[in-house]
Amino acid sequence: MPHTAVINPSRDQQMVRSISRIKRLRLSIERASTTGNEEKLASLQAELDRRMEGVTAFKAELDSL
Amino acid sequence: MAAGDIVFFDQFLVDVLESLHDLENNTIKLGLITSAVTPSATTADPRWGSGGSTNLSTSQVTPGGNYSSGGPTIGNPTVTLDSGQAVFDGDDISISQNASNPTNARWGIIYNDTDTGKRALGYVDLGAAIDLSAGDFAINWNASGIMTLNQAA
Repeated sequence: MPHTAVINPSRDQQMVRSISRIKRLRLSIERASTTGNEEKLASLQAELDRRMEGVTAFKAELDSL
Repeated sequence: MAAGDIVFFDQFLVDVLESLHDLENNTIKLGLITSAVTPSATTADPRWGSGGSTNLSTSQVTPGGNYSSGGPTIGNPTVTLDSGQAVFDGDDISISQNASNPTNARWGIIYNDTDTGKRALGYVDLGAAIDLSAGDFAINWNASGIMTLNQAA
């Protein structure tokens, strides 16, 4: 089934997207770990780290309000 | 249709069942085209190049600035089983503003760049012609992923 993408998303929309993507990135990292695909593993991990940093920064901003 | 709607080509459904795509390991790209054509689910054998019935790349926006010919790659493609659904997902698309960027992107064509025939999967409705020279451009895929497959209810 297709889904709707968001063109030029707001920061809130980016956070919703990141949270879901983080879950699937973790699942993919788990799989890549078992197959020994180091290149893919590193790339997925870098994307996960980037997403996590974004969510953490967003949470920090909320906490400071 | 509305801005952001993703439609998969009927031909893609056949191609999947014929194992013509490995969505997790192939290079999947998003090419931008103008309003010269209006894609639909029934577009005949759509491709990003010759070899099929419809060559969507002939309507590509003029490459320049931060948009290279063929369009950006959807990085880190993943196929996962998530809550009983098979999910195809990938990194979001981002093209930074540049004065030389295309000025009339109307549709985004998702296609398989690894496939010899560069078969297209589907398209994204951008809602209207978008001027990428006027500002940053981004597409965030749905929180549920680009595409899901699940058991019929």
